[in-house]
Amino acid sequence: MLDRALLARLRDAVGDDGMITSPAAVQTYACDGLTGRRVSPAAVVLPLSTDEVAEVVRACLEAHVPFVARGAGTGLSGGALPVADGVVIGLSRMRSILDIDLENHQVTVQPGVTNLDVSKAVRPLGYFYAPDPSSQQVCTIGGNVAENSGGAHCLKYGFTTHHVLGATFVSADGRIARLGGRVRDSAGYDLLGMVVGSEGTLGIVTEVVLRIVRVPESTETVLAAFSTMGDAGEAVSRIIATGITPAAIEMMDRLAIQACEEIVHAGYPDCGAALIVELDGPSVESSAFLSQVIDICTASGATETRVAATEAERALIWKARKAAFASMGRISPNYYVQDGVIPRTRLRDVLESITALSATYGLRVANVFHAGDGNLHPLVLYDDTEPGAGARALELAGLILELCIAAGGSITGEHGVGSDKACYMPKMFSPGSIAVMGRVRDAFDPSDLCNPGKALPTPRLCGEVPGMYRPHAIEVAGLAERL
Amino acid sequence: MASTAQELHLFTELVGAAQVRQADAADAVGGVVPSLVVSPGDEEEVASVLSAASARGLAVVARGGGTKIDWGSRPERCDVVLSTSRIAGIVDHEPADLVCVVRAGTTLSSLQETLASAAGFRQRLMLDPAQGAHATIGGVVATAASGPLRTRFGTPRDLVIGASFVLSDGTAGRSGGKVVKNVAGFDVAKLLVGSLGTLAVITEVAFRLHPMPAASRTVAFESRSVLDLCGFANRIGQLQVTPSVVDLHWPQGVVLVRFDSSELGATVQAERVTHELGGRALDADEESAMTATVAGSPWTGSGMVGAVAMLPSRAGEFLSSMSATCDAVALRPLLGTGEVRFAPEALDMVGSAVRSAGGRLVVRRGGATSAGEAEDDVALELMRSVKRQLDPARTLSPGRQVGGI
Repeated sequence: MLDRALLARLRDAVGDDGMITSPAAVQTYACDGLTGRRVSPAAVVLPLSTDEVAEVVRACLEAHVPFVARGAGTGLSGGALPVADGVVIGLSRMRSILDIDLENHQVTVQPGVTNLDVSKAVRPLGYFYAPDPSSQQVCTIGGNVAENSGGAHCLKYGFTTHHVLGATFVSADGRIARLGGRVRDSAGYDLLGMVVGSEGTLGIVTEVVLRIVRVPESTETVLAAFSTMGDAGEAVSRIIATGITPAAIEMMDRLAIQACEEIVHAGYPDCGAALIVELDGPSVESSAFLSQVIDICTASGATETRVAATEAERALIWKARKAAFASMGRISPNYYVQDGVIPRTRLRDVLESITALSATYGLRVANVFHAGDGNLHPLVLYDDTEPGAGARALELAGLILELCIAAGGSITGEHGVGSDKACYMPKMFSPGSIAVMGRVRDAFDPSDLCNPGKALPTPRLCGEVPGMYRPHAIEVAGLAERL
Repeated sequence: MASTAQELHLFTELVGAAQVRQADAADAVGGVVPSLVVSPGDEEEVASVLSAASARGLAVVARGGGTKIDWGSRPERCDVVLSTSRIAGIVDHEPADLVCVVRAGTTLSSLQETLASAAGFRQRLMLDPAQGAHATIGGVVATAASGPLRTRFGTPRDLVIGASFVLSDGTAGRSGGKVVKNVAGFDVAKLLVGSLGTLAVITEVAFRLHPMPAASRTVAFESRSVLDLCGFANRIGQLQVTPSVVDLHWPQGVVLVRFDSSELGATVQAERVTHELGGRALDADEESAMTATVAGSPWTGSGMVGAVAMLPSRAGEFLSSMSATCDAVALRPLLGTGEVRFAPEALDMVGSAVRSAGGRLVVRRGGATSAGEAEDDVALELMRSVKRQLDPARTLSPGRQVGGI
């Protein structure tokens, strides 16, 4: 419970319609895309301006109450998981595109603007916003900044950090700073670069200047079917070794294809692995690259290659790919997704090890991932009604991360560490490295109130074995709600 | 402060007599002459040198090739120059992954040579800062230096995927890794890029690499009107083409646009530019002749050199007022960044012209060098806070960063 004075001050800051305190209503904010973890906040505030955000932060600081910023809540690592009895600062009402400056190839937006709306606003003018996480229809720019989001096309175009030029930033003590800006090369340390990807632990961005990119003249998309993921992985390595940089290279295995076909009906071939390769640029060049890619796929054992002949066909291929996580419900009651990264050259052996682990644990693993940059998304499928299955799934997923680390990779490529993987950080970084990161965090938030317990491991957090949220029998029966 | 003899003894114990020497005037940093030059051989020795210096209140300035040692404000103190010359070599390079890990004292040119000769898959680190031949990886990263390739590939900030470093208290840390896509942990390397050596000594850097392009085509557009040059460059930004380089050179009066791609891709893009906007595609001989006329500009020649940044849309306004005042300008018009050379007495005029175009000027050479001005008090306070956390004793290059950090 928050004390009355703080509640009154928050209400003053954001108004009645920007304040949610009813125990039932705050449940909407109890988790993000990692639905297995839920914590009820004491209050949710929905500010409309930078000043309101700053006032909320100052109020929390003075009352020593932790606060967590939240966009659309699509994050998959529990980065927007509330702190018990803390405040959630929802930025979804700050959703204006403030400026479109074509001459300088930049737009200024509020953090609640969705990723896709940025591209929609500038596409008629011949531009787009390049980072495209699969959740782009709903995820917000503020969340993208917090997580340094990627997406399928970051293979060629880079991540959020490469496309953010400036931000208005509310510091963890409620002051307002300009980081970076519309003009490049601001003096001093690259605080903006530090903030992008810091998972909301250093402060809150309330306005963002984004770089937009000219739409390429042509785009070619090919879907190639292989009997095994190993063959498909081989094709990926060979494509890269020719010196071509495709806009995207995505892979789905048989299980993932089956799940997607259930809901999207995109007509993917029934095969062991499908590759989606997209090439863009001047039309003569992308069609030349396209034939090269098709030849490489065929030489690597592709049983079929299908080129999207129309924009609608391309959209359908992508619709299936981007629906992959959502469609898992068709083939499994529960799933747990990992986000490990491996060097591209290790694709074949790591995928084989995942298959072996899947057999050992008796749990199916669907693979759908950004093959071009070695960013795996193994979906560990399980049935939570089966005793011990959830725990086995977590254990298997943990072993997959260890495979990634052993291969010289990372525990997360784009979903973030959040609350989910904080305890894996010591497997990837030395105590000294984590201590330095902690010192940077202290430099921004000495009170440890700004999204505490995320991104970096804490003894309290990592001493306990994290468990998945499981509804109590009386919740399942609809007799009670968890508040 | 201890006497030089005591310091000499101290550091000799740590790294060996051959790796410590008395400094001379040529070792001066921004005019401040240090006592000693110490050359540790690895991360562990860097840590012991830094801990020992911190414990005695000695100020340390890290130095690579020394090509940009004057960047930043004059240090408040400089007792020890820590040379990274022995911390050199490529640690890891898997060509098929387009990634390399390299020690900080390696020269950029030797790295590029190795990468260009990767069997079967020639590649490159897409950084081409001025004085690149002797510049080291650590120095390029600490100064965030870039060159013409910035238009397409960005600065070190965009290509560094991991870094190992040592804080002044001897703590060794690493951030990032050796995969391009990675969001695990704080990206501390972002703070080190452009830190001017004030936060940590960088010992190793992991980079994203790019394939060596199969072909290049350059289009030159010449004019004696800076507005025509800027107009041409801005229209390039509106075409559906992807140039690696778009550089405006004055007084040469030329915009050079280079396409690095497949033979076909480079050719069609160059043709599109000449067809739609004018200019002419250069053949190989013309290209090398043209490259020679702008090589090293604006650094060659005497005078002050400053880095400028402004909105691309206001570059024309700045250049119109400056073309007579500056001796040389090399501008990336699509980014609004570049460098200008001018006589010392023109400093105020150049500064006010940049400001009136909404931009900023940071002097890089010729006295009055600085790290620029912080434009936001809260941001500056956060920077000070970062410095206090990572280098509380102010051992590393004190006073070189903005606001006297």
